[in-house]
Amino acid sequence: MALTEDSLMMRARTSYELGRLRHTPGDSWAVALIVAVGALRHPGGWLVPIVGLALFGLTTLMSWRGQSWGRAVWPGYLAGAVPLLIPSLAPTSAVCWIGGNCWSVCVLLCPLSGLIAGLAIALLAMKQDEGRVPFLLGAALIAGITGAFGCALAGMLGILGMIAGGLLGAVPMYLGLRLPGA
Amino acid sequence: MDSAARAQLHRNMVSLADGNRSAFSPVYRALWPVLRAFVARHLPPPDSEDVAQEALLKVFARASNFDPERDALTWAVGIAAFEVRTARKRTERRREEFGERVRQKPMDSPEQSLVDRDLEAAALEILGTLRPLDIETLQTVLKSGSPSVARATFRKRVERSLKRLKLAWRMRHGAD
Repeated sequence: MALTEDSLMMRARTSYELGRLRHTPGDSWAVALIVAVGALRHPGGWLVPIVGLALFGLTTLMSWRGQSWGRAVWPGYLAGAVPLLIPSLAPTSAVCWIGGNCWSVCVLLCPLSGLIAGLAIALLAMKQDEGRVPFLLGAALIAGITGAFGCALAGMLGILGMIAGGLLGAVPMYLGLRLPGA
Repeated sequence: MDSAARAQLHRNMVSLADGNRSAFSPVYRALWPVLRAFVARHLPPPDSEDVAQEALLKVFARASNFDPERDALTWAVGIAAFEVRTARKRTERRREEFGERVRQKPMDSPEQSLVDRDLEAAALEILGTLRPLDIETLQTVLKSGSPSVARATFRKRVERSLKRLKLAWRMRHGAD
């Protein structure tokens, strides 16, 4: 081999980046579980594998990048598990009346679970010593995509409700602290 | 490497394992001379440079899996020690292929070979953490070579080196 000093440094850098890439399945394997849950809810849909692939790409990229982005992967999954699982717990025929309108409980659970996820992500982001914004963005993206698999049961309205609930939970709480570590 | 530089290397390695690319150059600058010197002490010049480079590349390939609880220098030297062992085996195999006389070792059971191999790797790892003078002294004893200093001085040095080796072993493995 006997490389020159420059090429050795370059090879070492490449080895490091490849090593980081080999490290990513430790974070991205959970996407298989999320896609499996999604596939059980929406059998035969073409959207599940496409969104699953996007989630896999995103988690791989974040895990490879590391630091706050890498640390955001698992909190993102865990926060996203709330809207992924809670809406499906409601009985399909359960409805309630709000403001003279009949709402499916399943639809109503999406903003609620989004709110819980948003609050959880904001709380975890505030605990970070540095890189809070990347952490918040990364975890919110993963939680959003993960939760969408669950809230898609309630249609577009469910997904939008989950996003609104998430923003309602995360943004004010986070901005209230003026991002001191961002 | 003094203790401050060693602690700095450890901090940089932890940072690199987390994905901080700016820690790459400091880790590279700190590790390369150490690994190069370590390998050069155990292998002859034509092979030592190649093996040291391979060891360095392996250290960076595994940097993401670095456990912050471990000492960075000991960890890196452990990888280099493994590379030295592999290179020696490779050379031995090459010698056998060319029909050179190879000292025959008595056949051990597979379990015994495994234990011996682990012990050898652990000993090399510990040896790498000692001071160069200690390593030189112990190598002279192992090779039954003649010391370059007065016999009484050498005896004293051997005693001290063994003491440090035992201490390092105990700190690393918790037993003699």
